[in-house]
Amino acid sequence: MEHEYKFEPSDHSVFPGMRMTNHEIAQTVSWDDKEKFIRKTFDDDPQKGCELLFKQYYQPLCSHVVRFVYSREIAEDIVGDIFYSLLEKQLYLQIASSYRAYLFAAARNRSLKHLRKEFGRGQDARDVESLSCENGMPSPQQILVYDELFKKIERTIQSLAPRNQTVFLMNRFEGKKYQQIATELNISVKAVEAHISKALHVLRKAVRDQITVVLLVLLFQELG
Amino acid sequence: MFRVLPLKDKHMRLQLSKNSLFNFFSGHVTPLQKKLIEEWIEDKDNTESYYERLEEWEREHPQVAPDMEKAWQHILLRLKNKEITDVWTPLPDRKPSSQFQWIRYAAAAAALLGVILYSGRDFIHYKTYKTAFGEVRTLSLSDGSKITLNANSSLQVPRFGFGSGTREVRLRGEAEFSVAHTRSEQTFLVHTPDHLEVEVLSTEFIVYSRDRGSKVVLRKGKILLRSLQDTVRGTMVIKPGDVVTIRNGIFNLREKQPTQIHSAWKEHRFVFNHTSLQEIAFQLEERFGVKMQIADAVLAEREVTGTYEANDARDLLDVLAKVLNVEMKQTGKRVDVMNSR
Repeated sequence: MEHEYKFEPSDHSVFPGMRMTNHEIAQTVSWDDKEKFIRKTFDDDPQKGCELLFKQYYQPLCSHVVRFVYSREIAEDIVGDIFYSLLEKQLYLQIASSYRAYLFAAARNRSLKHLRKEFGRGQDARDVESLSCENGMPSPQQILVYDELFKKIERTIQSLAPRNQTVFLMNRFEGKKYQQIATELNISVKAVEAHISKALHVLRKAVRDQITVVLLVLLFQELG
Repeated sequence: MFRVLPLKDKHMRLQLSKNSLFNFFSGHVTPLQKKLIEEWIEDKDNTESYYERLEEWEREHPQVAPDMEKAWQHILLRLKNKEITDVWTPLPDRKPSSQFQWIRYAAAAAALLGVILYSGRDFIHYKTYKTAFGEVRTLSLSDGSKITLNANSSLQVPRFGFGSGTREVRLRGEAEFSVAHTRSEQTFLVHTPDHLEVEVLSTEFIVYSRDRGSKVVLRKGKILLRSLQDTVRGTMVIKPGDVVTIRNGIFNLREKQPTQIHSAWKEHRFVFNHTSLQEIAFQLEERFGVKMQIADAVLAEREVTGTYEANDARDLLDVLAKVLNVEMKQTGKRVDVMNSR
């Protein structure tokens, strides 16, 4: 099989002037080569490297984060922040794993941070900084609790009464104002408020329980 | 395509299909399957594959369709702003001091008053200078600043209070500013209809703000641009030779540009450098109010290079007809451009 390997574009000279779009890269090179190429770009021009990563991963990352935070706007802010810090704090110099693993891990970590800020009990907020896994990669156990967390959130939202769910998603996911929802659904603003506070109550309860599990696992890892 | 992927081979030992992981992510697995997948994940060697599958799953089941271009521009803007705060914070007079707390309240009150004045009836508060098509006019303001207005432009200057406090003007169209330095280092602000704010110390610069967007060209000194649009808010400090075009609140910077070409209009000149006929048509309409109707797209893409003096539309049209070897037929404010037969 050795002779076939030479067809692989393993050499960077196949990217003269780096004019290829991500789409083209995805079609012509395997993932490992793509990572190498992005790493090389980071060496030459960090902003360009970050742009390549952004084009590749922004959409799937937003899609993932939204499963945790259930708001398009917050998800975009969180993912945008990741790429911003990558350049601003030069975090790209410290990435030991693949970029993909790093980005997804950072996205999950930041989603958790956000949920704790929004739904957590007051005292939770203190120790989260020290548990930040943005530098160290999450362990398999941590991966599993994150998986459980977003699934639990999804189940919780699916369990809401249909009307309740509709109103909640219009407000939270689509970012519509109470008044706007009231007009569209032909109900009173008071009713919209009631739906949202009901949904938030259920969600808060579910998220809090699961966050406690996540934190325990994170803490355990930290101590172990 | 022939491909050997040695890295993936080692994961073959625990056969786990893409589908079973996808089902796991979606929560559609039996407890036994779940156990199996958890075991697979617990093997550290599978971590990279796990994220690869996760990415694939998100790609195939997208929950959102974000505006990538806007998001990337936003990140660049934040990075740029970060540089600006770095530039600005060391200046001692920018540091808030509790001793001068009242100044901040006064400033807030002045700003509030400004808003009230701003939304009030324009003709009472502002003196408006307007230029006709083809007219270029130079004005001197009470603070000693000189402003040259290009054709089809208007500048509003407050009747009261200009120079005592802030110096703020509103521009629609295009103008060159030569801002006088005052002893109290008052800032000079230019507002445009698309909510761009240009803040100046003492300097020479050009502001363009028409239907097509805005442009700021700095010749001397230092200015601060601020986009006050609801959707995109950002600031940018620019240095001499910088040309910034602004569309929908997004800044686009070109550095080290020759600035003279941007003020050629002061001498009634047009400077073209591989400028398409379509672009020339825009400029002609903005400057003289004459609308070009270009017969076909190929013609509209033809480029012109050179400097041309033109006091009215006719001057420029005559030259263009010769340079491009086309026919121009003028009827009132409309000019039809056709290939010569």
